[in-house]
Amino acid sequence: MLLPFDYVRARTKEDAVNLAIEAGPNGSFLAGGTDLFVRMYDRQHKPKILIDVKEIEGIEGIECQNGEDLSIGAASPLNMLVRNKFIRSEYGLLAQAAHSVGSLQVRNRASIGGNICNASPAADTAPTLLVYEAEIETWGPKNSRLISIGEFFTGPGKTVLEQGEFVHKIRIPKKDTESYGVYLKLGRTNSVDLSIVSVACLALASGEVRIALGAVASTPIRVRKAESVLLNSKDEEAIARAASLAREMAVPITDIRAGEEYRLEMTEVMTGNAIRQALAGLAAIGEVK
Amino acid sequence: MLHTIKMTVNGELVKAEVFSQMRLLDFLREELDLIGAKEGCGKGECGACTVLVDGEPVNSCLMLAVEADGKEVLTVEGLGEGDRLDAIQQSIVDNSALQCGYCTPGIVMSAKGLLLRNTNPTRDEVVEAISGNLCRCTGYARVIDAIMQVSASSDSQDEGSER
Repeated sequence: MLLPFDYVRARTKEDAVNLAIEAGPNGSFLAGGTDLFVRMYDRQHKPKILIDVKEIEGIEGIECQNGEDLSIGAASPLNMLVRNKFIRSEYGLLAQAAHSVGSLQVRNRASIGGNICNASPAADTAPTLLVYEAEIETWGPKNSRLISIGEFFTGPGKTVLEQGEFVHKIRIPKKDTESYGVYLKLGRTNSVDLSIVSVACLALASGEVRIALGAVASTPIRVRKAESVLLNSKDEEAIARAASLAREMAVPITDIRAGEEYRLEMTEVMTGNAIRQALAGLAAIGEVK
Repeated sequence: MLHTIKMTVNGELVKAEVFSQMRLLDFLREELDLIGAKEGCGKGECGACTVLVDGEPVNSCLMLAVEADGKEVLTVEGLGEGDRLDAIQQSIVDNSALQCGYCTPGIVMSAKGLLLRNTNPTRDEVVEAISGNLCRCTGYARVIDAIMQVSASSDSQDEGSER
């Protein structure tokens, strides 16, 4: 059972902001509810007013065209991303990350916007959005703003979103070069579990390799120092060095899922594997073409 | 806060007044006496409460009744006709793919959701479809066999896999 609250449906962006400001700290935005209702069920969170954003125009759906930015409505369920042909072919890493969340039932409700707004250090789509250098389009009391995903997270459960501000769309810059991405997630089971360590690696035909980590710091993190090693060399020695630097940049905690030392060790192993797989995938694209 | 909602449940139009905090699971079980969907964990981890909303499997413990306003809900009670079981239910029986049966309605609905999208799934696709349904007594091998047999015996096998 859930404690009593009032449910209201926002019809427009302005409506949502007004309702949220009126509700103040007693209000919570609702999209898929797969995290929110769990916290409410556990009495960790006791909002008095839930503001459903799912009917706001443009907040659900995917706009994609070759040569343009990919725009994803924040309340789009993860399965919408997993099943979208354009995302699967052009932004395969995002489809992989979305697919790794929860179970099929959860992915039918859980939204990509909710995944990042909850700001779990283990949020599965976050490392992927970091390596795609996504921008978060929000709507709030000061109207619209664009926030780089690298500046979005400020701590566990914390973001730069202000009172009354919500995520409307997520934009991923258009591809100007071929790329291949790999998302590796280590959990205790293959489904319905949070990450112990996760690594997103995107190898670009320009020679750049981007790497981001989940569940090993207070927020998902991009590890640019590790990336820079791979700019000039991509041999086994450079990969090992990058993996070791990723480990140095990780500051994990010990929790119910795993200990700090295990997380550090796995960060190094998985970063190395992710780089190798991404480079091999990129090379295979080159051979096909 | 009270809301007037209308939805189709197992083919019948239902109109009701519900409080904001009433979950779809509570609405089905307590208001409509459809007790096929079970509450296991209450947190979307066990899948015992799985029903189809507009044809897609969801955990009804993580959805409000008011969120289902205007939607089409299918529960295990809506499968089959009269005394004739749905092919999935019959196959579960034929394969002895249950023991205590608590998880079974959820598994049946997850399988139904899969077969509505994809009439000829691979074994991996079946495994994925029920990956959000926990069974603590039978295990999954017989359940997967049962679902695979339904898809193999279905008439339209040429549509291919969607995922």
